[in-house]
Amino acid sequence: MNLLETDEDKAFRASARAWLSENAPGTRPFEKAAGLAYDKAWQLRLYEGGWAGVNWPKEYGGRGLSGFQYMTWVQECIRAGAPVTGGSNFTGQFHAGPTLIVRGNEDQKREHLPKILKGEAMWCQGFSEPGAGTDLANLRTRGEIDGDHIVVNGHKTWTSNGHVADLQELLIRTDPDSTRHHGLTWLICDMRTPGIEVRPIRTMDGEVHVNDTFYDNVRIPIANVVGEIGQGWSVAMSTFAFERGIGFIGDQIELINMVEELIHIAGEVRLPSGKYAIQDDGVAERLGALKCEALALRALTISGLAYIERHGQPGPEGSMMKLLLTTAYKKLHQVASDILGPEFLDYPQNPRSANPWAYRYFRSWVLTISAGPNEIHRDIIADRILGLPRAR
Amino acid sequence: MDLLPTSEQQQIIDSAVAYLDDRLPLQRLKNLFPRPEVLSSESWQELAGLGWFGLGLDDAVGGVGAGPSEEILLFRELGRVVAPPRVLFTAVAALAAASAGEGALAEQIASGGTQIALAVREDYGVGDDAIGRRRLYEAQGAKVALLVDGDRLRLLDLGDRELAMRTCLDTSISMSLADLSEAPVLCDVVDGQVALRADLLLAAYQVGIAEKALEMIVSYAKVRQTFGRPIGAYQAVRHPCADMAARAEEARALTFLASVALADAAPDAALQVSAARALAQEAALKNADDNIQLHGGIGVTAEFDAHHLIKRANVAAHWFGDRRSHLVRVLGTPFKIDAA
Repeated sequence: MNLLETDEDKAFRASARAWLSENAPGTRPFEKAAGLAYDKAWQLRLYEGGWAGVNWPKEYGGRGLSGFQYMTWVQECIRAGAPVTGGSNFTGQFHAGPTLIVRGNEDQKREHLPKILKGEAMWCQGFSEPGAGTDLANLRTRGEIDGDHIVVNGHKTWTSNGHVADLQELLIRTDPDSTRHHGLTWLICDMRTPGIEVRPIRTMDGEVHVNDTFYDNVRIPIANVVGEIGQGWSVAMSTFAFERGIGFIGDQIELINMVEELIHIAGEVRLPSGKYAIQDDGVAERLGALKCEALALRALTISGLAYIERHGQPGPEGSMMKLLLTTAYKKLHQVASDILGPEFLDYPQNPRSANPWAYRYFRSWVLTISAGPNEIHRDIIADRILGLPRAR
Repeated sequence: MDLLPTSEQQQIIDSAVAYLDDRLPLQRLKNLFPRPEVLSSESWQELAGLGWFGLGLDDAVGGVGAGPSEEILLFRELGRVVAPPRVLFTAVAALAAASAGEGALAEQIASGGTQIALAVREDYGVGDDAIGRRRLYEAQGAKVALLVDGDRLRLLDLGDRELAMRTCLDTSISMSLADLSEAPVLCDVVDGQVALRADLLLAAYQVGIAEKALEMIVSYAKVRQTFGRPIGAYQAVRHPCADMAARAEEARALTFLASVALADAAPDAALQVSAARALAQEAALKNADDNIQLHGGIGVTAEFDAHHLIKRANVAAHWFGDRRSHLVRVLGTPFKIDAA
């Protein structure tokens, strides 16, 4: 066990800090088109500065650095106020790109990876369906092979960034006689193909992040199949392995910062009793326990990265990370509502910046539900870590 | 960076597990119940021979010369078998004696020559580190008491002092009350690092309890059937098990990290140790509780081992720094993620 940064690590941190101090962008605009332009411009600047795909392989335009160096990069981005979760480019950076690196063919990698790193192509996800979210293997959107194309019909939902995306990672059923995780295919879908309709879904925070996507005889070239026809489930699992491996680093670091910020606020806000919030035993107990958890999540992140270094792939602990992180995030915002009092209720036009505590309070359910609701992660822990008898 | 045990550290775990399985398995407490556990002097010498009282002690004063990251691996295993806490008190006492410059005393303690009790303040509001009346744990047969009050550590000679015996709810532990105001002071030192070490080792012991509770319910849930299926196939059982696993894992990871921070004398060491101690204590209490509940009726019987975990978790919560003081430190010490 050790926590020390090597000289090489320190030099890397210093170079990241120096570059970010000159290049970090301002606040991301709220409005859709401006937000997209901001994301694209930032991604291009990262690419030109040599900071896109820090942990992607060198041969596909990345830096080829370790998970620990990626963590350092994320820490420095947060310190500099630069975006880390990719905004509109989230799916490309954290889902589609890593999946193509592992499972794509050379043509697909050369075509798509540089565009993700340069911010030229935005991606969205097309996995979940109205009857197949938690139970993804129940999906029914079908594809029929017609010459050198696959003709897709069906309905996907929770399509994040579907309203701004150029491309989609699309998981469909190509074998009509198959059930469950057999007979599925992972496709690259051009969102401008005729027959695709995207309808926004407004969420409880008042904004549009996700969409319904409808497919009416959408013709997708067979050349866009990633992996083999019928092997889509296995390809999708590669997508999830990456997501569960290092996908939470940014959220984990931000959690500690948010806890510290709320502790600071609790020292300045008075409760109806006249005491500062931090002087209230109940508030102090909850905030103290949350900070312990935030520190433990950092320790778990470092353990997880060490595991990847030793074994070449993440362990099943990603599900514990997801469960603990999102639960702590929600608790933090519940405490914030107690500390802030009626101010927590102000929900103006630009809530992200005007009342981030309430805005993120709404987002807390997105975190505990998306990427597999916490209930399914408890099942994954029970199955794969504890070896309990299967529930299904 | 790496928070996984090295192969040398893994050897410490393996040899501790091998010894404990053979000589101090958790099941031993069943035959003992409801009497206190008093190790024979032969057993005590065996533990001394394994180097367990001086694992983290400098080799110049009879220790093994390993550090906090090795010690926690041992104490986690000791927690898993609900080992006599006198091992913990003795190891901390040896560190305190060495810190006070009492090399001969440290050596004597580490070699098993002096068994140590813990003496915790009983009267509050009379000066933070006044000796006064104390509640003693594991004083039966012990000649010296360890006092840890904040960063101040003292060793007092108990001599043949009369102790008012109390029956502890964890009957495996001997508990008593005594006024130690007149007891001769053998050493007296203010050393925040040793005080942190005590809390760190206790956190590791508590992690062990939390992990053992999980292990117990998981093995039971695989075989116990209700309505024609193993209970581990029901989400009402498997989901709390998953929560227990996550709770033990975060406490374990933070305890490991805190041990490295302490070994490195990192500026955030106190913060990390306090957070680890607070989290591990809650994990031990909650997992031991859930373990009994998920077992159903068998869980509350004296025949079954689950009660030893919840009882020890309750008693251990009273040793060294209390939870509130740890949370106060956690809240009052800002953490800077990019400080490196």
